[in-house]
Amino acid sequence: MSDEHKQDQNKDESLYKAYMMKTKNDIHTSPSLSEEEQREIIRVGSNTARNATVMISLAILLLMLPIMTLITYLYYGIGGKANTMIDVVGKAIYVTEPNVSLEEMEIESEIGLFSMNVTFDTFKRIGSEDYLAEKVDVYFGLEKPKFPDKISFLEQLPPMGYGIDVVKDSQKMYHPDAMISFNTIEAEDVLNNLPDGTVAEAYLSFSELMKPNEIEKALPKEMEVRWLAVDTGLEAKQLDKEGVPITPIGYPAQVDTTTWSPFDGDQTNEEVFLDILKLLEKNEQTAEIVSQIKSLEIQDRRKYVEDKGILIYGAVVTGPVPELRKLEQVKEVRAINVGEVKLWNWK
Amino acid sequence: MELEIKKKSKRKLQTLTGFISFIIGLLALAVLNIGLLIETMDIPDLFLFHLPFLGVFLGVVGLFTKNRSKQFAWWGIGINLFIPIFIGLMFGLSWTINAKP
Repeated sequence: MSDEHKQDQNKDESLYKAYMMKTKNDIHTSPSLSEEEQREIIRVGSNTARNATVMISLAILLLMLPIMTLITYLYYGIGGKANTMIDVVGKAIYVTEPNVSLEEMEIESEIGLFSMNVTFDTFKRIGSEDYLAEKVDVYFGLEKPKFPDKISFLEQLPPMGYGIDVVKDSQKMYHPDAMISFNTIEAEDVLNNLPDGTVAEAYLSFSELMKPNEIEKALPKEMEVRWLAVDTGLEAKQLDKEGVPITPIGYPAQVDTTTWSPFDGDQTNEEVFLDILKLLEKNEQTAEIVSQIKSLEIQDRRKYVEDKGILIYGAVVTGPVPELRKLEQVKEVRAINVGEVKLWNWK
Repeated sequence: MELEIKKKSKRKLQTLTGFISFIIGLLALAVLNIGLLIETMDIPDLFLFHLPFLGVFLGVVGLFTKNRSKQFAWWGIGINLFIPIFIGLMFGLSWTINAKP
């Protein structure tokens, strides 16, 4: 049995050896590729791999710009982020800049990579016509705005700087309890020396707080009330809690019939004003930067207005200069400050 | 040997469709990039729809290749599908942002 087994093993071994010999032989004798050909194969292989890498890298590079653009659009589009920002920008102007309006239809937005530029023109009504006041360009990096670039077309430039004195002295309307920082007689002199054939805007400070509907009755007929400055509890001191100077907030006095204006008459202007304050409260930082106001303190001011109701301490009116002179005799008006002046256009 | 040569030529033809699809995708992407950089929407439809459509078709043909990498075909299909989807999304999103009648 064991002999037989041994024989089998020997047979297997010799078979195996023969097979191995044959294989070794085959390797040496089979028609194999020459070294040159082998090199060629490696060269072609590495070239193909390199070309594929280059091509795919190129594709990835070319995909970067479209994908980043798409991400930006998705960022601004989803949830209406861009629309909210545009809304805040427009409405902040209405309530922080006296007698300034804008054309909602003409607000342009341009979306770049991870940024958006909102551009629009603002207008001032002087006499019976709207004059281009400023061209404004607000840059948003994602949702963070920068101070707007403004080109002003007005004769009276906004105050330079944000210091307490600068802001205080550049005020044109004063709360009955606040001290007027300009010389009221000089200001009236401006009005007296303007020719009769001109129209002007005038900033009025009232001697007491008034309800919005009382104002037109108190003033001469031949003029238009444009903007009402609302008492929000901080105007007497003109400073917020931290001592930062504040500027007036208010709302347009007239219904604006231009398309998409928030003050289009669907709701009363007072209601719209309160709605805007709520919107700005949610986006206070944006509103502060866009309106270039250091402190809006909107939450406290909105609460004050909602508690006490809308009471007016100042107004912007526009009309013919001879008519504006009559304001000096109105007992409710304690100070007049003349703003922009234009040649006669009163209708 | 003969068989191998035959196989080789067959392979070459098959990869070609995937590769062409990829090249078409690259071309259309390049034009799209130019359009985005010069901020125009007037990119010819040829580059936005017709060529990518052809590219997808060729890419799909390329996918039926045997014994060969289908890398370029997949990339070709991906890029060529991306372009019309990109345009569609951009139009949709542009309408939601600051839309005016």
